[in-house]
Amino acid sequence: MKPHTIALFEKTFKTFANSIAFCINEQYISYRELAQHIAGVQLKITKLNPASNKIGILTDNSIETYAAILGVWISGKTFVPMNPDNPVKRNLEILSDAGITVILSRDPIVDEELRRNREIICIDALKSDKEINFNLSNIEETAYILFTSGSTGKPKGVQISWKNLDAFVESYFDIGFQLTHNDRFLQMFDFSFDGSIMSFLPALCTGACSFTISTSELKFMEVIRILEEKEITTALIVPSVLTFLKPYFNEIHLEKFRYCIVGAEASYNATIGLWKDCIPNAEIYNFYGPTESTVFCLFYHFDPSQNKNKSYNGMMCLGRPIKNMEVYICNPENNEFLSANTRGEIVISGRQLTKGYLNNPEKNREAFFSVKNGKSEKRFYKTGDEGLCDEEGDFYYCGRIDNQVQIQGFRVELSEIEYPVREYFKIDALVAIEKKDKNQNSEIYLFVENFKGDTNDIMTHLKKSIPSYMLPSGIINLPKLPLNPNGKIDRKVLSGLLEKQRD
Amino acid sequence: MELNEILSELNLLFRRVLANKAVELKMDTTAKDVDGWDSLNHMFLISSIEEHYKIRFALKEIIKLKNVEDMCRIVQSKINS
Repeated sequence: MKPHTIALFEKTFKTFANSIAFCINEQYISYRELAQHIAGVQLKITKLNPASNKIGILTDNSIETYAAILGVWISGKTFVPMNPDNPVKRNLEILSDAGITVILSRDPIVDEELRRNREIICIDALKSDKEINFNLSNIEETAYILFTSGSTGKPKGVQISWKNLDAFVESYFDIGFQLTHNDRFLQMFDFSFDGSIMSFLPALCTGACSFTISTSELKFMEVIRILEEKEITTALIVPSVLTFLKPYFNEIHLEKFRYCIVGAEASYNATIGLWKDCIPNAEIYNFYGPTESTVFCLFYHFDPSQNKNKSYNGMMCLGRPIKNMEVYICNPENNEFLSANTRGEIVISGRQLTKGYLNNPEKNREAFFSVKNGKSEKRFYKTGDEGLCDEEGDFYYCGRIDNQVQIQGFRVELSEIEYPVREYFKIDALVAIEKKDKNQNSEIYLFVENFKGDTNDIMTHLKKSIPSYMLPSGIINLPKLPLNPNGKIDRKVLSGLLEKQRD
Repeated sequence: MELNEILSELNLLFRRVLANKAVELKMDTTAKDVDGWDSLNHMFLISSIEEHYKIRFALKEIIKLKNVEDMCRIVQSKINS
């Protein structure tokens, strides 16, 4: 059966053919033109009839990338994004884990290993005047697979089905956004982060336009330029952008902004209270949710009259579950549900919950659990986030239970930074530690014990192994790493050292 | 103050902020050419330039900066005004 989201796309292409779908690098592309690109991709995929239903796309900030994603979906296949700036090793892991035999790319792929035994389709010149065929009979159950940081150094593939994605679209619009084809969305995210899905998909469902931002070095400058020049009405913004713009808030006045969603990292009420004055006509929402919950599962509506807003340690309240999700607080040791105002692990269930990680039964056993209720069984995902729920049913974020941190909106497992160093240099005593800078942004420092070589060599190796946002801000070589009473490296002592350094 | 003098002073500021002694700025250098010159460091660079010259950039001016020459020119216009 045709997914509801695809049916919404179909309606948009029919109703708003002459409207602008995307503005990318100052190029305006209508829905009609986008449809021609998509039809080109669809024709190519249908002709190729690939052995695997999972199609890899080397994504960039181009209309070809968006057409490729939509073309893959409308052809009934699964979209697997890969960032061309990732180390080749990481993209190879994604290709092999997902069993990808076809890669769509705008630029030629020069790396022999990436090309080996795979069909490469250049999407640069793919266009067709034929109509898009929205009525395919075989639709792959999985819409996309996003690879996130994994603790063994190998990325984990989160599988999101069409049922999940349809539920997400339903939940998103259920919040009450009054969006029309006249709205202008901001899309500032890389496709390996599902904030990108929320930034362009609702626009495609309503016939609105998405203004995209390239992943350039000075991306945050571009964000404010586009917000101002293009009179953006709706955007998901990560709090680090706001922290960055804070010294200039008195120069920002965005009258047209209607819906400002913050998410992906903890937002601080104090900053949001100041930001509110820059966007006097906007409603502000805080969205919370891991990739496993198809973008989000909790939302909080920020009240502009400051003193009414709930927070925990200054962090904005996460609010209540969205339409298709349930959220609870559990004891992380035994998965028992906890009562109000007790801190525990945030666990989630519902229609947006992923069926699990691709080819990773061990991680699936660890991260998911089921509770029987009569004949039915409910699945839950353990987020690894510590939280609590108050008596009114509002949730709060308190920190991380495990060693994951958020860097520029990306979820990073600290052990994934340690892993390549441990493997390559054959050293055991090392640890990656998070440090908050003065703006509350996370930075990572890598501590190594008695390393005899040059620490620059470690950084050089890391640059080849992990994406740039994961790279540590510094590598610190100590004669001996402190141990706690259990004989484990004492992270608290090392965090303290970093704190002292800041003072 | 001449543009070239400002360039060499900015070079020292960049080296300090980015903790990279190898930085060699030219007039046409952009963020792409310098390791570590990203959004966050951009703001640290701006504030260290502001502090050094006792000037203040407006957000609109910062948005328009395309390369090092733009930075030098704006510094020059501010300290000469």
